[in-house]
Amino acid sequence: MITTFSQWAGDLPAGMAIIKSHVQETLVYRFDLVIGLVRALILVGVFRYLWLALYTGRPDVNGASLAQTLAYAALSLIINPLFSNWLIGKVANQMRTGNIIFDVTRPSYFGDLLLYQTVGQALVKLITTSIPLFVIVTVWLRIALPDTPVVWLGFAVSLVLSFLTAFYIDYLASLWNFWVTNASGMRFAKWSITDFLAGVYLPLWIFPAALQQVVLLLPFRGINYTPLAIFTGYILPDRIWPELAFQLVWVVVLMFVSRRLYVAAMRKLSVQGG
Amino acid sequence: MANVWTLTKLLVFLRYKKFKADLQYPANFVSEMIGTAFIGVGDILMLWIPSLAFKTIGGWNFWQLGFMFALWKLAHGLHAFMFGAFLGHDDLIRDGEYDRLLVRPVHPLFQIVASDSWPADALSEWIPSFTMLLVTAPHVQVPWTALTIAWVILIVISGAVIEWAVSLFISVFGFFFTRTNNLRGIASTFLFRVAHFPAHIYGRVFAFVLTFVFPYAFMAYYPTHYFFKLDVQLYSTAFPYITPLVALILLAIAMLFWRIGLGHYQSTGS
Amino acid sequence: MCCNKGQGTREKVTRLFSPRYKTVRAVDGIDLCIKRGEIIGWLGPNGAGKSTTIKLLTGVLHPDGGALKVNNLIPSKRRVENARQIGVVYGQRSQLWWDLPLIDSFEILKAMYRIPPAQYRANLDFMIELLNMQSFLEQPVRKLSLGQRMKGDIVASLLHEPPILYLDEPTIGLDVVSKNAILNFIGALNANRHTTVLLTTHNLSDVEHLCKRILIIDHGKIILDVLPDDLIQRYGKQRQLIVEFSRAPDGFVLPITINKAVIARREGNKVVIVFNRDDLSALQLIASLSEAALPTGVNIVDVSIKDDNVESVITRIYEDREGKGTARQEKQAR
Repeated sequence: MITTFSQWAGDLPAGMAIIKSHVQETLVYRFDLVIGLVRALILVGVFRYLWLALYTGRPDVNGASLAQTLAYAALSLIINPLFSNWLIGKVANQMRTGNIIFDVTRPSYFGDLLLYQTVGQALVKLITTSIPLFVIVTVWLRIALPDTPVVWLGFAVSLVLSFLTAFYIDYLASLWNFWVTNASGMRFAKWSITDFLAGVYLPLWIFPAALQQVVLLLPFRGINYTPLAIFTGYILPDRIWPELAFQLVWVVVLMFVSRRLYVAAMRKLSVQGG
Repeated sequence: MANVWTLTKLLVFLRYKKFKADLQYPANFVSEMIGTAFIGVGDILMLWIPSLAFKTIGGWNFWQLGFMFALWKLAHGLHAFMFGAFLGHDDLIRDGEYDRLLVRPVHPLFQIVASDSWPADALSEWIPSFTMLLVTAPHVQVPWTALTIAWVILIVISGAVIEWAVSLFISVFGFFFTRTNNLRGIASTFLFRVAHFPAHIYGRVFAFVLTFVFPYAFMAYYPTHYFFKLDVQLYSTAFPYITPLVALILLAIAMLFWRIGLGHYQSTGS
Repeated sequence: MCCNKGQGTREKVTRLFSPRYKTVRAVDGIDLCIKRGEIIGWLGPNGAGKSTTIKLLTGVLHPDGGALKVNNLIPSKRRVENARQIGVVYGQRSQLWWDLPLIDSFEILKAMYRIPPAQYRANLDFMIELLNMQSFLEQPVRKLSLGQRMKGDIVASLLHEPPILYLDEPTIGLDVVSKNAILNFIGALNANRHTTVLLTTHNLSDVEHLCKRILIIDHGKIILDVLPDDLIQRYGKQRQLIVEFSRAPDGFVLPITINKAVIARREGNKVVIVFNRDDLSALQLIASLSEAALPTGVNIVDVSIKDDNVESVITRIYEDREGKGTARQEKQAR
């Protein structure tokens, strides 16, 4: 009895050390999360002021009311982190360390592997950041929520399609790493282009008409713009399904193109060797 | 310590050597420059599109906004070129590199400044901003004399120093066993808000933060008032003229704090 | 140069739930004087306070108490001046510029230390010649082997001809050829220029060949300060007799007449016996063994003798101190 107790007591320091280090890790992680939330809220506040200042004196712009734009701006900052933007750097890293060889020789397709990882990350962000922010912001800013289930459903489906669109675009861009040793320039370009064409900071409805028509043809609108336009009611309920179809078509096209590009990348890789 | 001229020569020499090393990867260099040029384009669109849709933003027209943006981006680019190395300050401490810096007969901060090369993104940030400056310059309400140009240069340099002072101040927390990335994140959130739109549209709280907490508004927002004879809506009518002074004060504070941090590092080790 | 260190530097250990600090003396009351031109071996188990002492000497850390002077300068107070008179090589971290050719690193340091061109040239040529570095001077540092890089680091630390050189584990991971080249170089340097050298190492054979004085630090205090020969004299009395029998002697027990010797281990036909040369001579031991073996029908086939060297002595000193430590812990646990 006494020996087992002293054994346990002897193990206690080791056990405590492990627990302590885990707690520390989680605390650091939590702290980062909180700071992330604070930063997001700062941005939401800042952009809110911007749109209020811009809209002074006018009821709407291109059919979008102030309320719609405010809602769009706030929610855009919340849903955007869910969409893949980090694959270029990630694949670049794998290339640099040589670990890429494990990724591409696994039985499952490289793209699928990345997809699962990205889904996992998005889910974590959804739970830890996006949903809390969504609740905080909609209450704080008194954002009008959609009143019909159709719109909610459309929004949810659109979000999933947005995620996939963003993923395949990011994945396509990351394949650039197989042709160039340092793709960080590509990363900046991709971020700027995507942010602009997806309407992350500027809702596409404020673009001048001619530009808007061009931009609306591209897949990027399926990233931020579509789900938010549905949510804020800018896209009317009867137009939801065509919008979703548009997103879906692009997802399929991008998926197909990325597979082809991957095959080409693999050929390039085997030519280069190790 | 050595005189300023010797130090400058050393800095140029070191940067040149590092630049040579970077040029060994020309494809990367070019790709990075092109990529970051896109950021500049995105930036300009960020203020052009709204000004098309809304005509004025906070009462400022496209020329005024563009000029302010150009000033900011020139300063920001200069900061990236001169002081970008401080983003890795935490690593210097963690990897023990600071000990190496302390064992050489040159001021550690100088060594850090001298360690970076000419990063590709500095150049590509200068191109769109310089273009913007030229485009908006004719619309300025003040005659372009040698003095005016000198004043612009002084503002850009001061702006870079302001950004550096904040970055240096934040870096010091690394001496106290803290990771600085969160603080940097918050600082950069504010930094980028003064780039495209005038600070007075952001309401009292944010305008306060941008003036007295992270004084980035002095980089371009306040100085622009002078060039377009705009009415100052925030705080003091003297603010458009004190950017260099603000830069000096902030730098002094940051350096003092750095001394304190270094003292702490030198009595506790790691 | 004379240095006198009093109480040492504190390290903070923060606790998670209460911000109470537990102070640990990394360097505790070191009293030391090193003369110009000495080559000192600076040894100690990990965590003993070796690197902390180097940091104090190089001016990186401020001492909490006591007096420390290097060449009559207080390192932490006059950092820049002290920096000009020291060279530091960290075995595990290079100061060379990774992507640049080796020669460029030297040029950069020449500029930093403001070395006059003629002196730089002469000094550099001398060292390159001695270390045989001509073939890889133009190579980027990242392409060099560890041995080449280490030579580069050593040259880099000596470009400004400092009178004092600190070497922190410079031979770690090196192949024998490079290691010897470097140690010989340092020996030559010391002979030629009377450069004072403080060498931290775990390779105790380095110490044996190069150092004129060995200092061992443990738990922040100096526990030994001797010449290598004295070390052997005082602590190196142990000898090992390795006896190879014609077949494995089962149940082999040392004859009662030999009570000062101990069987260390058995390896098949071989038996390793440890004894103190003051107690017993090898000859006596062998004679008693063959007498004892004869009746059992076993013959001694071969015999060899191993003497203590610096390495084995120091390892034993560490182990003894460890032993003291564990004994204390056991006492407390009970």
